[in-house]
Amino acid sequence: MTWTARLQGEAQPQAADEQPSLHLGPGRVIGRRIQRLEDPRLLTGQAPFVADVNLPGMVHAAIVRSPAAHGYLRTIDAAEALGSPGVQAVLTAKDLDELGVGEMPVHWLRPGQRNVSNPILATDKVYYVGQPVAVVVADDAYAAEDAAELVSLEIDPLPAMVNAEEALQPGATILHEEWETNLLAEHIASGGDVDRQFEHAEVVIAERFQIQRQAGMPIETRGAAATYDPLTGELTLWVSTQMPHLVKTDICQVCGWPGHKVRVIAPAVGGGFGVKEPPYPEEIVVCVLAKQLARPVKWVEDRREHFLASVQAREMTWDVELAADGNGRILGLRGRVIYDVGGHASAQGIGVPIVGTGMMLGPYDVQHMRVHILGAVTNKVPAGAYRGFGRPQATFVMERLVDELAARLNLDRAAVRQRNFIAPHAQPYRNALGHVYDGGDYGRTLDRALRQIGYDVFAARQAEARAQGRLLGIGFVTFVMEAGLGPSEQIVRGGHMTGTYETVLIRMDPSGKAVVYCGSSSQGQGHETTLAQVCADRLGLDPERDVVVVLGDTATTPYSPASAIGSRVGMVGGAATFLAADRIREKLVKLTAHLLEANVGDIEISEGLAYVQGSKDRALTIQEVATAACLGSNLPDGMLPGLEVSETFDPPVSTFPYATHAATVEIDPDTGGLTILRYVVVQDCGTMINPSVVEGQIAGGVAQGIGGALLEQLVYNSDGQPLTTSFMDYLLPTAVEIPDIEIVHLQTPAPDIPGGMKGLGEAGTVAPAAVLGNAVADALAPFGIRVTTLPLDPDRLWRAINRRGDGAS
Amino acid sequence: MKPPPFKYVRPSDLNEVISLLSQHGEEARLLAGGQSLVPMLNFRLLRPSVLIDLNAVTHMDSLAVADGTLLIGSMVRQRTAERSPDVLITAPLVVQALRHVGHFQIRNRGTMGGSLMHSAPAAELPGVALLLEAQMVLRSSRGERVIQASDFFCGPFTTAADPDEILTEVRFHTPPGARTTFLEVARRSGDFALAGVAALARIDPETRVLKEVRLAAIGVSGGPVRLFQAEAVVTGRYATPEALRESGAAAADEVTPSTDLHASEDYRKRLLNVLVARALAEITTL
Repeated sequence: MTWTARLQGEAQPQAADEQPSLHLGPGRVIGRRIQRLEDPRLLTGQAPFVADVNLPGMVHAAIVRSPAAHGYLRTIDAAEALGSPGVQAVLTAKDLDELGVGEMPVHWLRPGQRNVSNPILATDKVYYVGQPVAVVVADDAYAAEDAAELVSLEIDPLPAMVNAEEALQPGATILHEEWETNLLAEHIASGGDVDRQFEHAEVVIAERFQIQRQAGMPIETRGAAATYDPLTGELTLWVSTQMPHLVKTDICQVCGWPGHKVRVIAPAVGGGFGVKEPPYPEEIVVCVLAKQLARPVKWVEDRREHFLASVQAREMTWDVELAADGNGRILGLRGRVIYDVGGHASAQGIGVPIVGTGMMLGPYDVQHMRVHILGAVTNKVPAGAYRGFGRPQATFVMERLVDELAARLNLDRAAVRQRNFIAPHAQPYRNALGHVYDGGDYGRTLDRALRQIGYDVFAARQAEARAQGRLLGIGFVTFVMEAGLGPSEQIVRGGHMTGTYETVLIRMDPSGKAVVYCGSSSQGQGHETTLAQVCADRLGLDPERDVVVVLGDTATTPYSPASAIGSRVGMVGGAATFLAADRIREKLVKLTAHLLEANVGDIEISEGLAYVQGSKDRALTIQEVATAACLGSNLPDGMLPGLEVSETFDPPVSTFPYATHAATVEIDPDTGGLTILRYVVVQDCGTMINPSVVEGQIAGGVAQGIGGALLEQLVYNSDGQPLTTSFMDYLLPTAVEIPDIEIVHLQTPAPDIPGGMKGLGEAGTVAPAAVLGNAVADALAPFGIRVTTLPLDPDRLWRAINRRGDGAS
Repeated sequence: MKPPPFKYVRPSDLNEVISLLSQHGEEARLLAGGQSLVPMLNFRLLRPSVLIDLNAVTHMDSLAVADGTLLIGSMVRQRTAERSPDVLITAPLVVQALRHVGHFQIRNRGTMGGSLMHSAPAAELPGVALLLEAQMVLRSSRGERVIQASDFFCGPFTTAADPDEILTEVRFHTPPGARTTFLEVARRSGDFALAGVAALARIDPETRVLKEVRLAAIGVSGGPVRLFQAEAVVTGRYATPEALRESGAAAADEVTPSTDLHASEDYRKRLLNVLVARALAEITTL
């Protein structure tokens, strides 16, 4: 990576080096830049991924996928494949039906939603190229792929619907005929009386925005390996997932198997980004086959399959209007968004546009909005989660509207924003849709970002450059996101099948070392490090030497319904760890007071010691106290032996981290080529457990956001054939395309979360498209161009500059 | 993403390769650096029955200079050529172009001959060979023949080499006193060019007029193309901004690029126009 993160002056976490005499103990380990504990294993290639699971007698699955975007599946002829060398079995929907295997559940339901589950293998119809139709199992992956080519599918083709808006027009070809429409579900996000605001608005900005289809593209594709023990009836599945417990729940539900006989392990996982959020059909199939064949079965998705079979995201068309008074005070927002669902609902249904729209008004004090969300099925890969989950799109739309408002009124863009921001004293603020923010000073992050990037001198620089025929632009965006959703009851009432609590179990044995068990899994975010830091902080331990964190194995970790989604592990998992460790600490303190014959209130724990405040000679090591607790002798009255605590934290509220991103760009007027000159992030994510991890999350998110703004696009032709099925055509940004990312931290602890953390993981992705859209619009202002369509590729920009139609405007 | 079955042979001697080629002909594929062939096998876009691995064959990676001409064995790795002082001195355009070929990891494996034989429409080395009027040395059981680069490239992924022939050597010659450059625009660093230009010019030291100008484009046609009109427009003139602009415009007029996912026809023409003018400006500026 070429980015360099720089920790600026403000809000320095209490650094250990400021307290040379005290390194370990409450407030000393949270906030410290320790190196990531998982990295030696990951960076030396020692961490086991699903593809590394090799068991004696293992056979390999290859998936036969629909070559057609839409059609009736008439016959599947597997005779030739079954005769191919090394082939063990071919599985189709008919076999699954005979085995009593059900359908994949949809986890996010809205009233009236038209499908609540989906077939694992296609039955009578296919809805997109890549839909799983049959599974071939052979002695090795080569033989399986050779035989998969021999499975012959007879499909009567139907016209493909590749545009969600057209799919909702009268006369459109209906995908799911029993629905008599292509509308999967709809939702109206509404608050206040928006139409009335438009009646007396002095300015209305109306615009259509189109955001392209993208996907998370983890470096490790999906994969699953299962083994079944006929003697015990126990099944073990290794799977590359963000949600091992939910995968297990789905397997048990779909196959009718009892939970205590199923173990799901997410080993090292090479990126998730939402793509690995839902359980997938292949994961169920591998389990079914392992049981049927009584042999271990493995399937590892290849990259081409990943483009055909893993959830895609982001594609939306917005028709929106913003009402304002003549001073740029925003009065209301209304409009419609059509979300391209793909061939059928993914696990997330229409949750993505609902979450995106929910915080669309972001930092602005506006109490009136109505957005009609329509989810339409099309003959494309089902759409689901991708880091940001609707927020990048909604932020792009809102922030482009605000810039256009400022331009219309000839007002400074920063001033218009400051005029509309929620005042810090108005917090906690209830937004138009009822979300109650937990604090925020948006003016401060904007000011700080503009100072960092030199907004006050930019206009002069820009004018000078324009005089030389050079095009410079600046864009900036302040956003608030709802992160680490809670409480569970509210989330479930909102249509999500699972709650959002987290349970953490901490065990300490007589050695005085701690093991933290958390049901979330890690896809590289650094959870092992951050949870170890929280635990160590509370218990006066060294996070590197005294704590181990166990993640992602349903056999050993507490149930986790939401796991590594929604920017929640640091916040919710961190809070649960904080509480559990505090309870261990409480017990250690009581026991120490008893052993040292001191008052409980006088006992401190730090540096691996429990001691009487002010007299360190009256001290026991944590190991001595832990030994006493675990042996169970000489305990105070009423204290039970043992040092094992489980705490469940269900967030009483969501958290509302916020940030301002700002960027300067230069566009080559001859070629439309865009260079990002500077990229600044001012982020407040509450307490930072580890600033280096925070910066890594921000930088990675910004890189993905830049990819979505400038490069990435999943393209289908009019027959529904995907044209981007390799990294030659789907352009992820590389280190060369990503500028240095300058990060400034502000740190306002979340008031309602133990530890004060706010969700962060997705934050980096939210703003880049909006920031770069605004910067491009600014650079191209002399040409009167309205930036409404992504990605901002050079061909599009050159067309816009030269007014060759089909451009950005 | 697993290749279909094939027979794999790893000869150590060129004569053995030639005999295998004469035996298997079109059924055989030569494996050099594998940077294009291996993905194509894994995508099952190619299904050769025999894969002849050249990596153990001796004497195919020599690099020599004779009478000012660079003689480069087809198994010379691109990265080796890129870092060779001999190449930099005798054929600097090769080095200038190689910097745009994929990423250095790809150039570590990729070979000079592999890229020329693969002949992808936007590949840099075919453009270089065309511009420098390289000689391509082919061997088969029928003997050796030398083909001019202008006769060698026959469209996308197609060359004049017969199925039983192997490219053993390429000879590059830069006219004395010529300056060269290679410019391209790609969506990302290391991607295939949306358009690229190899340029060569000699300026008369007395009169300062452009005595010889050669231009070749990549990415705007089925293979590399010489831009004869654009060359003619500036040859014999001073390198004024106006002359260079006219050359760029002429270049855009003499190609018919196709539209694909990454760029439209007219955008590619526009890029070529700009790149020709910029390339000429670069090599005519003292």
